[in-house]
Amino acid sequence: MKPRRVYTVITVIVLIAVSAVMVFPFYWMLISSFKPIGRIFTVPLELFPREITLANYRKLISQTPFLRWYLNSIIITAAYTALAIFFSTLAGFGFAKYDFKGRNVLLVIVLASMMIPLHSLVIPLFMLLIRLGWVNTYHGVVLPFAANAFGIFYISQYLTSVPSDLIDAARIDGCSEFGIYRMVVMPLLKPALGVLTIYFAMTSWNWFLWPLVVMRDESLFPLNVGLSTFISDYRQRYDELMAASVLCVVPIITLFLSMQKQFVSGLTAGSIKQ
Amino acid sequence: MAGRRQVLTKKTAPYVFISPFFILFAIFMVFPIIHSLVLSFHEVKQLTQLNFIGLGNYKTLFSTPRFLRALTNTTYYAVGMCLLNVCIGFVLGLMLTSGHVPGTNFYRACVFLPVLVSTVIAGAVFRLILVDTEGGFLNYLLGYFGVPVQNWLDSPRWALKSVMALGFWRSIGLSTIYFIGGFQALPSDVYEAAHIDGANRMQQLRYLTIPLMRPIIAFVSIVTLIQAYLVFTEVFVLNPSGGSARDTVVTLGYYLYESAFRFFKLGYGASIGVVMTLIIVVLSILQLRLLGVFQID
Repeated sequence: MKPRRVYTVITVIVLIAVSAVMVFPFYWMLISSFKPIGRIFTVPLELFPREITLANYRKLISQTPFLRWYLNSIIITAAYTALAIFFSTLAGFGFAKYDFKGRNVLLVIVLASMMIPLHSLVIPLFMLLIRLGWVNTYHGVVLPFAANAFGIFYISQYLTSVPSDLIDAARIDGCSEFGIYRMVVMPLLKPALGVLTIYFAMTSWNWFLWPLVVMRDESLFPLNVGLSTFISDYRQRYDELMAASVLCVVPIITLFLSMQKQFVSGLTAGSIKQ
Repeated sequence: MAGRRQVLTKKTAPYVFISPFFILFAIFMVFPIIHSLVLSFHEVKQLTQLNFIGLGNYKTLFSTPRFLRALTNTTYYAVGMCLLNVCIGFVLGLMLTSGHVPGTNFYRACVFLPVLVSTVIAGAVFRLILVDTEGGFLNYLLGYFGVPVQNWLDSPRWALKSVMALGFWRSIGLSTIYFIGGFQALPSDVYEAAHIDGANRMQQLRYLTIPLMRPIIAFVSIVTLIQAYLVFTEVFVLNPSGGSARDTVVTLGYYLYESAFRFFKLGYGASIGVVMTLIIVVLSILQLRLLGVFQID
C-alpha cells in the first residue's frame, strides 16, 4: 500500500507543476492586458498588477481595426464551416449510402488528397486567385478549401454505422433523393455535425498562411493576420496585443468549458488529417 | 419538382452529391498541384511570364545554404517535437488515467487549454515571457537561480528551441488526449493476470503497456512529425525583428513563404513546395502503412 501512496503524491506534484506551466501564459496574458504599457516590462516584475487599467482595451477598440478584424474572422469561419459542412455531408452521404460505379476509386482519391499540404498549393492558388480577381475577397480565402476530404471521410464513416432502413422507407414513401438527404440523413447526422462543426470552425479560426497571402488590405485581415502586424511593426504593441489576445481567447475558452466533450472529439478527430 | 425527381434518381444522385467536392477539388487542388510542378521548372517573371529553366530551381535549392539550413532546422524541429510529444504525452496520459489521483479532470483541462489558442496569440504571449531583458518573465525567474539574462528569441543557441517550446505548448494537449484514449482502452484482465503472476509496476509497463500502446505511439509520432514539418506560423510570430528570420530558425515553410511572397520568386518557391510535398507524402504513406488505414471495403 505504501509505495502506491508515494507514487500518487509524486503524480500529483508533477501534474500540478505541469498544469501551472500550461496555464501560466494565460495568466500572464490576462494581467499584462491590464497593466499600463510602461509597466509590462518593468523590473522588478509585477507578478500581480499593482494598478489595473482598461486603457489598453480602450486603445485597442478605438485606435485599431480590431473589431473589424474580429468581424472578418467570424465571417470567414462561419462561411467556411457552413460550406464545408454542406459539401462533406452531401458527398459523405453519397459515398456511404449508394452503390455506384467508380465509388471505391473515387473514395481513394478523396483520401489521398488529405496528404497534400497547403504549402504545395499556396503559390499556384495565389496565381489562380490573381487571374480570377479573387485576391482580397472572402470567397478567395474560403472557397479553395471548402471541399474538405477529411469531412467526407468522417461523415461517410459515421453513416456506414447507421442502418439504412429509414432511408429505404423514405424512398418507398416517394421522398426525392435530395429530400432524403435533407429530411432523413441530416437529422441522423446531428451528433457527428457537432464534432465536425467544432473541427471546421477551429481550423478556419486559426488559419494564418492562406489569409496572409490572400488578404492584402488591412481592413480585410482576419484576427490572426491583423494581430501579427502588431508584432512585426517597428514598435511592438504588446499593450494592445495582450488586450486583443484576452478578447480572442475568452469566448473560445467559455465555449470549451460549456461543451468539453464535443471540443475534444472535434479537435482530436481533426488531427487524423495530416 | 417532378422534373427534378427524374434527374435525381437512385442511380444519378450519388454522382450529383459528390460532384461539388470533385469540382472544387479539380479547380483548387489537382490543377494547382500540376501547375506547381510545372512552375518549379520555370523562372517566373512579373507573376505571369514563365521562362523554362529545367532543373535550375532544384539545383539552386540544393546549393543554397539557407535552404539546407531550413531543411536541417525543420528536421531537427520535427524530430524534437515528435520525441517530446510522444514521451511527455505518454507519461501525462499515464498519470491522468491512473484513477487514484484527485482532480484528474482539472489537470486534463489545464493540459488541453493551449490547444484552443491560435498560434499567433500564443506566440505573442511567448514573446512577452521570453523578452531578452530582466523584464521578461523567464529571465526574471531564472535570475533567482543566478542564470544570466538570455536572448531566448534571437540567440543561435535558443531561438529554434523557443520555437519548439511554442509548438510544444500548443500540441501536447492533443497528444495527451490520444494517449488517455489509448490507456482507457487497455484490457484490465491482462493486468490482473500480470499482478497475480507477481509482475511489478515497472515490469507491467515494460512488457504490457508499451507493447499494447504501440499503435497510439505510432499514430502520435507520425501525426506530430507531419504537422511539425509544415511549421510556419510559429517561426513567423517569434521572429524578433519582424524582418527575415535568421538562418538559425528558418524552416522549409518559412523559406517557401519568404521566397514566394516577399521576393516573389514563384518558380523557386514552387520547387520548395514540391520538396515539402514529397517529404509529407512519404510520411503519410508510412502513417497509412503503420495504421492500416488504407483498407477500404
